[in-house]
Amino acid sequence: MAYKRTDAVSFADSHWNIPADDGIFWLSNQSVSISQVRLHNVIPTSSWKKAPVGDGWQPFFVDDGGGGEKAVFRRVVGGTTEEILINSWDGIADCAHFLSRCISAGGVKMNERGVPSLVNTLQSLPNTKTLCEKVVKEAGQRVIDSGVFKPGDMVGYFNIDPAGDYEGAKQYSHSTMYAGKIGGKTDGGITCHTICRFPGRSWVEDSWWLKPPGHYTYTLIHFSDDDPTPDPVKAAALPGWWQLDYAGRTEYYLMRSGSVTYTKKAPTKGQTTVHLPEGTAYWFMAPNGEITFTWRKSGTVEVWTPAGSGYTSKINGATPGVLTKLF
Amino acid sequence: MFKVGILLVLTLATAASSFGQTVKGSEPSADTLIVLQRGACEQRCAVYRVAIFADGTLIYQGRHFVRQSGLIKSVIPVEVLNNLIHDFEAAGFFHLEDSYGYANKEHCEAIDAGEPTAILTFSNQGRSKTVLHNHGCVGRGTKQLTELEDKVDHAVGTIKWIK
Repeated sequence: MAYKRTDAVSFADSHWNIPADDGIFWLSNQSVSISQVRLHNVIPTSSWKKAPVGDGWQPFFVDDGGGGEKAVFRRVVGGTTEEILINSWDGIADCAHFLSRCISAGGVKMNERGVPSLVNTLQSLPNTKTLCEKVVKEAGQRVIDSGVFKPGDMVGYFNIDPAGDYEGAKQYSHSTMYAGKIGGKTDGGITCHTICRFPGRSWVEDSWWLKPPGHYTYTLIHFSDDDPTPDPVKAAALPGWWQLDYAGRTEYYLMRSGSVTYTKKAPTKGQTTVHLPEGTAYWFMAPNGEITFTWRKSGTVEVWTPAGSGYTSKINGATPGVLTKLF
Repeated sequence: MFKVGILLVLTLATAASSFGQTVKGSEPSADTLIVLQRGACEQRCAVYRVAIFADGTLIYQGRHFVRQSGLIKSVIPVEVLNNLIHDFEAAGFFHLEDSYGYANKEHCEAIDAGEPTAILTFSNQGRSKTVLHNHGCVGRGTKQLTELEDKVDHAVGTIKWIK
């Protein structure tokens, strides 16, 4: 089923600070059913009280005033907000679950609890393209600014800080959904749980990069169902070998339908594969014929602009290149 | 239950010291208690508590994002505990603020959200103090606190239970 990104973002918008539509949220070691915790001390919590729906109690994740969040029931009585604690900041871990619900709302059924498995599952889908993988912030920003990456796409956060996530484990430790350049976010904002975020409403940083450099590298995963269909005539002229000369370097591209690999070794006529390619990219053709490449390993963004019977190239918005179709 | 236990120990220890118990030689005073509680953070920090008693007995309680959940009883050599006591005294622990973080921003040049809070309690020779330290708070006094917290972890060897 095709991914409806607007449905996914809309779901995130309406659930950004409340438990998802399945009525549960996750702690590190257990799920918490809202319907159960209303009536039973299932966690358990020393300050637990009953919070029946009929008495107006609704679940929220709210700022705990100490840099984290807490899960609570709230209701307003006579203009005063009353609160019952469900769970303090300790142990809340709902990010992969929340994103699974968002993606499911977009039509792609998913039920992942852990971030590594969520990222792995997303990358394995036939309708996703990993635009860049474990790249630094500047590279991720280039890919976002290219316009290929859209609201409803996903960001995986790979911990590189020895003192960081999960006691410094080098693994995917967080995941968010890109929400776009909204809510005053010129870099692009994200939505997620733990800590809850939606651009313009979050009480913590909600730019897509989340932390200053040195904490994470970033993987941007794009749902490709609604990508523009390339002009068939122009697309038919692309497959084969191209030579790119730029900044005193020469590289050779083996273009295929929608993807490309490159090597520094000149190809021979009839060669159809690249042994140990230097890099791989997806390419996307806009209706005006312009082609955008997102190089997976480096996050380099390259744009080919139609010029006469061929193209001119620009790398990362600055470095010009000369293209020659070889064979 | 753990909190209640610690409160009980603190109360008994305070009462004992008020009846004139004194430190003999290199043995820690009977009311000695060091408790380190590490709280949650956005980066899924290990959430646990560890309490060290005067005879070197320690109790660890792993709560979230740890290798070992639940209670573990162990022991550290009295010399190690004495070193820790020396470190607390040298750091002027009893003269630190009660809080470094959101409840008392005065000593923070800035506060980063999502960082963990560590709560450190030290009782010794009739004195007792608890300091709350949000690691998002960078400022005077916090470096010493971080070092003390790490020294407690190091003395106990908590890494084997959390990583």
